[in-house]
Amino acid sequence: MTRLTQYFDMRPRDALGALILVLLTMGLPLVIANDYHVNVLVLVFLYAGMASAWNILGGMAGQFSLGHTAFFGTGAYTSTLLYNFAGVSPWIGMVAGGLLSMVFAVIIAYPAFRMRGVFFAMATLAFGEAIRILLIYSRKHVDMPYGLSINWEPAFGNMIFEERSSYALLAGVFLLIVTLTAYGLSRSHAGIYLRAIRDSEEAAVAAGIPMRRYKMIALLISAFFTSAGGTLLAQYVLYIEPTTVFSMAYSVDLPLMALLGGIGTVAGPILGAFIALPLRDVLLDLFGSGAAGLHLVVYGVLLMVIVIVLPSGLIGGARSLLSWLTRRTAARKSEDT
Amino acid sequence: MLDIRNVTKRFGGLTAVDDVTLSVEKGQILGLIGPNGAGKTTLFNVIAGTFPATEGEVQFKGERIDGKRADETCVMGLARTFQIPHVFTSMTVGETIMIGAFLRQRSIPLVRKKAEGVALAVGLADRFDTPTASLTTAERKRLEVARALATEPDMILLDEVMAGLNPTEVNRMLELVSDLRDGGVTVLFVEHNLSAVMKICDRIAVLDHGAKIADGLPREVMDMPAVVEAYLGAPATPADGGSADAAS
Amino acid sequence: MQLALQLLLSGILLGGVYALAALGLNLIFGVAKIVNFAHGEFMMLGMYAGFWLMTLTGINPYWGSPLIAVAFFVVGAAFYWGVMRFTIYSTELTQVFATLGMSIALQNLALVMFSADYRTIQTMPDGRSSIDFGFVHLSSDRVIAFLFAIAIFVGVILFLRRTFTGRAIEAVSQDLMAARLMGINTQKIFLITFGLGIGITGVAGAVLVPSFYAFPSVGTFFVLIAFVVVVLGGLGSVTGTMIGGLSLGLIESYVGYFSPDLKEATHFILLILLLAVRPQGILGVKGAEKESLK
Repeated sequence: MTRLTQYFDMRPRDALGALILVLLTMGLPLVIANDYHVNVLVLVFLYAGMASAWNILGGMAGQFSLGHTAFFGTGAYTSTLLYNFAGVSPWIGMVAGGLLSMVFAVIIAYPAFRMRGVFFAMATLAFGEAIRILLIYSRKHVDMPYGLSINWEPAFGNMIFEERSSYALLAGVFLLIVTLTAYGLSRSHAGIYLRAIRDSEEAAVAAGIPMRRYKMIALLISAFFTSAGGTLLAQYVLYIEPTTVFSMAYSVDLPLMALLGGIGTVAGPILGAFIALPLRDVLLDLFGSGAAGLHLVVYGVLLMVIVIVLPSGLIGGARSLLSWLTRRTAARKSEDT
Repeated sequence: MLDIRNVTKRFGGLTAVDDVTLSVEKGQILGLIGPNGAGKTTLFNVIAGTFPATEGEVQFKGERIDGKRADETCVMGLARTFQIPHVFTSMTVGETIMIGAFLRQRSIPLVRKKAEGVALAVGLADRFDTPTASLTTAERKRLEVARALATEPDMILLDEVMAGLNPTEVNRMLELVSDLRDGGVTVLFVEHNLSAVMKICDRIAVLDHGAKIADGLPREVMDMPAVVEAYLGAPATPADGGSADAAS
Repeated sequence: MQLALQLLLSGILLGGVYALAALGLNLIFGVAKIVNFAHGEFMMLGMYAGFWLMTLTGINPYWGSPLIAVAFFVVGAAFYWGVMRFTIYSTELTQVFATLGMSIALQNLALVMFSADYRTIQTMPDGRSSIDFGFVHLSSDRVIAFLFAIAIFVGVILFLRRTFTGRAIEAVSQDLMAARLMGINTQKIFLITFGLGIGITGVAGAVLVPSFYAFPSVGTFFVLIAFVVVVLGGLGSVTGTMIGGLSLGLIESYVGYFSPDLKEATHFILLILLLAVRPQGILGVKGAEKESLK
């Protein structure tokens, strides 16, 4: 891999963002006592981390994947199988799953990187589905139960904890690592190269950027962290099955969160996850009493409205609002004089 | 510097470039002209590595480059521009030029300094922090040249950099291209605008129906009856700006 | 020999059905350049429409299809007017997520209204559910669905070639700018195309409910089938859709016989390989896949 060089120095507002993030991830798990809220926290951190991982490929490099469930499920399955059947610690399983996901990433990259936009999305979506079906198919030949439970034996080496707040801390560390990677990438020459590829592949290549190599770097990082998220969630839930961990829902949710917050930005996916997940819970509270699924009807409609009204996400929306305000104040001032 | 040897490019049954041999000497400006559909753009794309040649080969600084990817030839010192500017829509002018400069240099202050120098050279210094989205066509064309120039090329391929520019802008672009040569960069450019070609090219090659029909000094070439006939259909004053614009 | 013939015929019938399931997606893609990720959900709603029509009124979906076509035309036009109209000049990303949002909403709406039960209907009296040619048996419902597919394809082709609106739709699909400069009201064309595409999809769902189970998430299955068919046959090509459908039907019929479990995986592997090797499809326009996110 090419050595990453720093593109620009850290800006003051980045330092502020980092401080807030550290306080959130390390502080909230210690402060919040309510079990239900800690549960939300664990999920928000994990999703935020995985949405950031998706964003490295989908947002920064502009390669719109709808197949990240393949990496998520690979992570969940690899560590769980290794733990249940070979007694391997999930810490090692997490790395193994990440590496296996990278192998899958290389396989899908060959056909998928020849496509752009929605065709890349369709190919990756098909890849995610194919892996799930192949897994269900292979199960018939290797005598593996449909669902896999992990025994609750709390120990650090087992990545199983007594307290929910420990999971929240772990998920918070995961989020911090992914964010740090994404930030480092965005401030390095690789980050600006990825942006160049996203903006115009022709011009990027004409400027001497080895495009496939940089797309591949983004894909590999993205696949590894998504896979690690799969392991972490499996260790938290302690139960996996093909239809849930290879569900298309992950492939859709991760880009959704990135889009909601602000695609291609470092803070966007985190913001998106912090809003989308609790939003779903709130909707469930409001509409859940009606009928199962009603809250998701509202969620789907909200999604449509949000992408239409705020196509560049909350961060993009805030930026345009800010520049509009500045322009208006400037106009006012010139009127006064 | 650049040697094109017996290059043929066929698309299915259509022969777009037919056995063209052409070479560009170091420090020259070579203009590649010809009527619409003559195969100029196809030949250009073969040189730039957009697609491989069906037959023949292209050598750059003695090394074969046909079939190589565009980023590889760029590293070797052969940069290109696009007829329709491809801009990085989310970036500023400065960032765009820095992308090119990153090819040779990874230190931010140096890259930035280099980019500022290039911006000055192409006349975009005052637009350095402007988002590319708000540039005019002429500025975008200059940005194309700037991005290519920032990769420190030995040779630069220009694809119709004059198209769509008004006379004043054309003159500025001509100055820029001459400056490139004076700075030691070899130039090959495909152009419709005949008066532009006449003014600054050291040599001109003419393509018609995929084949090279003339190659020589501008004045000589433009007087050749075959060229006049192929290019304008009827005898005319080739250097006349009006008829040149009609051809584009 | 007999087996090969049986597989061939059932493959063709299935292929016709798949082609019908994909036609609406391809029409909308061809004209508006939007991949409708909610396509499968409209199909699912069509299946429920067929199911409830038969269950509540006793009219079978075949006779009820004109009614369903009209209703879904309105639904499609409303979808365009209410949602997609705002995204037509936005980024591909916005379009993907607007349709995905629709997909989530509709899928869960079906769950709320119809529960997760698997539903199907019997349209043929016992004993007439299959047609017996002595050496091959074919399901009557599949044969009828196939005939519907043929009729709809012929109808769409005639509509596109012979009517003024049809020509205008073709013009928009080939060159939006030029069509606009020629004075074609593109908004109206998009509206009609969405209505038409989703109208056809509704009918496709309705005529399939006797042979496929309807349930809220069945759309995911059909949207992927439709992707494969469209990519196989060619993006934006009506005839290509039929060819793509038939090819997939035949492949599935033979693969399914030898390895039923792998049937579904073949779809996706085929899709990935196809996208990699010949993304423009058998009859598609070259370069369509190069349209980048802009």
